[in-house]
Amino acid sequence: MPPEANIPAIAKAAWQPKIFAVHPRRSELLALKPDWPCRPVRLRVHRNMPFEFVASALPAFLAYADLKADIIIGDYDDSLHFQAREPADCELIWLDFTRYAGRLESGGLAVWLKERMQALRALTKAPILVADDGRLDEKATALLAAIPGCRIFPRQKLQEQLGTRWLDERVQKISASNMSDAASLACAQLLGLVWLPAALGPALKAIVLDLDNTLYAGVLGEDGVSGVRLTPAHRALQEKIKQLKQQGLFLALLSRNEEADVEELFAKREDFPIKWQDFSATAVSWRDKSEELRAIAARLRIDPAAMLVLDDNTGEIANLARHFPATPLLHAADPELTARALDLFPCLMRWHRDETDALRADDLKAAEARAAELASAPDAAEYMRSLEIKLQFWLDPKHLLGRLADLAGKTNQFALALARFNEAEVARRLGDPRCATIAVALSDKLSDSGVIAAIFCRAAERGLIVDDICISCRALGRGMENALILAALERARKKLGGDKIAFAYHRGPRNDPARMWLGQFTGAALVSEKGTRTATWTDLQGKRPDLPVTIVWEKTERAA
Amino acid sequence: MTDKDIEAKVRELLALVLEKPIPAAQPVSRANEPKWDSLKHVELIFALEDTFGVRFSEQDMAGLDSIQSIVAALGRRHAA
Repeated sequence: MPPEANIPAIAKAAWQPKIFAVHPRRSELLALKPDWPCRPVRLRVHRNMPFEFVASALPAFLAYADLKADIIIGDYDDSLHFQAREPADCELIWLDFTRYAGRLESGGLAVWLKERMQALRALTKAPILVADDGRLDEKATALLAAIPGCRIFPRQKLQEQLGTRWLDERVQKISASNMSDAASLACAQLLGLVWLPAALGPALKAIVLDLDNTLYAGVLGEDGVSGVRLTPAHRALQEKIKQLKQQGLFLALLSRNEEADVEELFAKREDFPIKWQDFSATAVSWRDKSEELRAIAARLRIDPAAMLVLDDNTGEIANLARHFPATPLLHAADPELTARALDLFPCLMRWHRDETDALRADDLKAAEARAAELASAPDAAEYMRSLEIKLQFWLDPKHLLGRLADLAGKTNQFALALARFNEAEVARRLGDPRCATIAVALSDKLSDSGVIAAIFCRAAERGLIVDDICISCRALGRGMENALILAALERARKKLGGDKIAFAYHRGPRNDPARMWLGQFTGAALVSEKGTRTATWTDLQGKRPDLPVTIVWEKTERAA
Repeated sequence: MTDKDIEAKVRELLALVLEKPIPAAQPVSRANEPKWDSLKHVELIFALEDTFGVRFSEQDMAGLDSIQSIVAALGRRHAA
């Protein structure tokens, strides 16, 4: 047995044709058993129709996403009579809406469903997915979208894709449902690969691309710039990748080639949808790809686990998997299957979407320009002044709920306590008079970074507790941390009162910079893995930096 | 494909659907297997159709209530 056989990425590569198939096959899926560790999660299904045919196919798709679900299927219940039970990681509403026809007056379904989802939200902070069979109108969609952490699973899109294959009237009498096997498998595929991973884990941030026989057919070093072929399938793949870039993912290039050849390739092959300037980082060399991947992660300021690597060579995949076991790797030898995989790959779809997504690539380029200019500036302080840095603050901004939850879910270098508040918990805090939640946006003359920080505070007996401070890596390196956090705490104290401030902290795999900051900020290095560090507001005044920063408090509903 | 091959494959699918081992010689029917309920029955039919490239009628489905009857039905279609 080759040594690669025990590497999950290689085993997953063998699964790809079955997992990403346009029409998955039940017998193949049932036989797929992962031999890699999967994170246990609990999915609770509230239904008035069978979910069993979907549930039995889910484990293979979830295993590809490194998840193992304990699926609790409730009794058939048109009334959605929720009861407080053991916690679940995700709640799925699986209804046949035709059963309500004639029982609810016009618009009544939307109002009733909203009321039931609010009742469920009161019982749990877990993400809620409501499967729509096309009968949820705009009103229903809008009402459900207003419930924190509630999303609509677009079952009707699959129905449109499958057409007449969606229904199987033969099984209606036996199973009380006319959903076909193809319909159940399509639902399982979309739920297991896309929606549940998006609800349960952080989103990927970058796609790292090999070149030869991945983005085109042929080998650049052998076939030459004009000899490599952009087949229709490769064109479609490049267009798909370009779409993902437009949705906010970084693109990076990781190729064993001569750099000059690759630059010439992108300069001359105008038929390529992907252009040289689409890459936020490039590593073209004959060095080991694992070293280059590490350099790409550093340049993009993201964790290697947040990058999806595409490569047609299983040897390269095995090598990368040994060095980066948490990095998702996609065997990209078949362009058609690869494009399909990018439609479905776990955690490429973001649970939260906001305008910050579109800013990332430009912001990274600005950060590199800033660093280069600072290094060559004769007077660093004068250079910083010339940047015209501006920090915008919001207290309890409900309109930034998604972005705050996104920041709270990060496990990056500046996530102090790794509290990982989800959307429902952030929403609760935004409406709680004993909490203060602050969002911070950063801009300067080179770029607008968008909302880059979230500070979560709550009132304590004699002061306030800072439950977490989360700052995007894109905002680090400008010495803004003390100014930003002190301004936020000042407003939090104004709302909550007290002189003592307790900072929660929890060591994670990558958050040493946040721990070091807290140690310096409060006067002594942190020793424990987890705990709180207390300081008085008076003590912290000495930490206020003399930085040329403009601070602006924006009006929000409650901060006005 | 011989009846023996068909039976081996049917047992394999039944084991996957019911999530329990089905020994080679053991006679299994809906009457003596509590896990083989109506929903598992439909799932088994789906898996059989997918594997053997056949399509059963609603009437056929009701009669496929044991390994023996399934093997016989598949054997007839294979012979035809």
